[in-house]
Amino acid sequence: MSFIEPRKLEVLSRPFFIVTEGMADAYFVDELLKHKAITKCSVGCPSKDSAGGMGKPAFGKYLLGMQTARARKTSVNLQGLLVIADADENPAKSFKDVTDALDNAQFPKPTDPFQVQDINGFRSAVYLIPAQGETGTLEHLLLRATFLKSQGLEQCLAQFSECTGGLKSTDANSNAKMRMSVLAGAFCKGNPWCSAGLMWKDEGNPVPIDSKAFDALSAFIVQFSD
Amino acid sequence: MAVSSLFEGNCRRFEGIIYRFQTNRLLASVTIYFNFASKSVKTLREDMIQAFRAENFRCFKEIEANGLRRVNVIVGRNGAGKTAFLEAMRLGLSGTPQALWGMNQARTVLVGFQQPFTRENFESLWSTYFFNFDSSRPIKIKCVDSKGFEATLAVYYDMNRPAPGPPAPSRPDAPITPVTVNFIPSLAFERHGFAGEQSILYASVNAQGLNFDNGVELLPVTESFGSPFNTNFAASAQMFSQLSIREREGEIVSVVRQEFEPNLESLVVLSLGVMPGLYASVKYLKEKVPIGLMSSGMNRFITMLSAILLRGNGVVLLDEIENGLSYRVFPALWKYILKFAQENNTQVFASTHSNECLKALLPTIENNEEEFAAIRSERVNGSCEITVLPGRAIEAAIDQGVEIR
Repeated sequence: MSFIEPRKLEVLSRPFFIVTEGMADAYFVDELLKHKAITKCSVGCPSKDSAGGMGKPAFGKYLLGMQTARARKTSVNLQGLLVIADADENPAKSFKDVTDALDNAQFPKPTDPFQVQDINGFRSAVYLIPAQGETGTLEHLLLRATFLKSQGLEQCLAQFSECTGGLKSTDANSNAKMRMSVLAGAFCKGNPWCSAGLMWKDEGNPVPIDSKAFDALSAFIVQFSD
Repeated sequence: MAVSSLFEGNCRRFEGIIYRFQTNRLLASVTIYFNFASKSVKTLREDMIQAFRAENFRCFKEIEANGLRRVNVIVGRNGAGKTAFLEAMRLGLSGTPQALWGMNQARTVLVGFQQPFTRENFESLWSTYFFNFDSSRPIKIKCVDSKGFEATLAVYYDMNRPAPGPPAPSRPDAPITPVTVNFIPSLAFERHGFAGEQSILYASVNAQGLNFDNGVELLPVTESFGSPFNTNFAASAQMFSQLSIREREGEIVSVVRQEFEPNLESLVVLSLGVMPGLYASVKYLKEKVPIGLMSSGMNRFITMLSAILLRGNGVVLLDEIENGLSYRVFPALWKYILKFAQENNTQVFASTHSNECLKALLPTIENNEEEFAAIRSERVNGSCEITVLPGRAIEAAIDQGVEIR
């Protein structure tokens, strides 16, 4: 059972909704929901076909468009919205970008990240990955989970980055994406082109969904949707 | 409200009513045509229908649509009430028995009234207009414009109105034919216009058959197209003639040349058969060709845009605008619907099923969000319900691939 809303979002079928920046994040959250048997949440993300692209810049339009699905008579009563976004290099700016988008779409916005706030009976929350007090992206979190399971890989990937020049020519976030992409391709033998989004379906997936690295996020989602 | 502002408001409105009376009779005088095209007349009715309410009509037990805009796109699944919504608007804005009578005819159901002239036969003509066939409750419709003025209509059987008597003999010495008409209650159309004028029109039965009272439409610059209209070439010819009289056909020719046929030289109305038709003069053809032979979609495109040009300061209702049109002209259709509606102060209500047609709205709605609203009709527990979505949300939903239909 997948919790990801189809690309053509039409009806809200669950009372809590999680919005992510892109499909890779959505697939990861979907795996987490399945693993934790959290059934009250749907997951969605901005469309890659959008003129504005994906990621935070597209949050505003996606959330506004989502309101049209929310207004459908056959949609369930939406009780809460959680936005999971990359902290990137400036978590405060990332949080502001997300809350501006919530504002634009006339959704209640929380005053701080990592808090589930009840605003007039509607739960609103923003979680910045990798984790509270950190900078980075989804790939940082995925790499952390992978390294906890296979410690030798961190050194291996560091050497790979060094010899390809990746560490010097890219920023930390891009480098994390590159390393995660390399890992996915190396381990998912059935699909060497595998992306971080699709690796969950591959038997060789190197990222353990039951990793302790995901405990804080899982606990937050449980708190949000419980 | 201060007395002075109330007075001023009513005065302005009163002028508008005179204007509407006059334009309802297109043969009234040449002066009217000049007035119609002049900018000074345009200011008479700059307000639009902003809110709409209907009760006990067709599939609507009770609906309310607020936040209507210049161009309102009606979406929904089959049987969700899109056409019924347009019909409700048509009825509410005209307030005449003829308008209601024409709706089933446009849908080609329950056409005609045959003997015996009984109450059952008469009521069966109208029962489908009442929600769940319940004519014990009136149909009620209310339109509110952007200045807060209201027009209301209640349609109900008037049990206290005596049935009309037998017709008078044609000659004084002619024998009076005894005619028996059992009591058949008349269908009353109780109207309150935007200027506060009140009247009741009746649809009734006399010995000769159906009788409809004539009355001025509450907003006579309303036009309604049922889906079958896309092949009504006579109607397009008539509209184009009216545009020609006002020297405005060039606007349509220019658009058709740009979007359909670059070799188009002119469009003319010719009366060669039983009915007049619209003909195109094309550079590489020896003779003028009926527009219907070139493309029925082109005919429909012309008709829709002509209606918007003609119905300045009024409302145009368009059902299933995508019918007969190539997806390639959808962007142009929206572009010119908005352009002509803005330039002529026309308000448009247009239904569509087509996702391609909705996607084609994107370039036009961008930066014009405030001019658009979507009216989504959904069937819920046997009744149809309405949600109005603002232009910003429509644009975002189309951009993000969210289904709004």
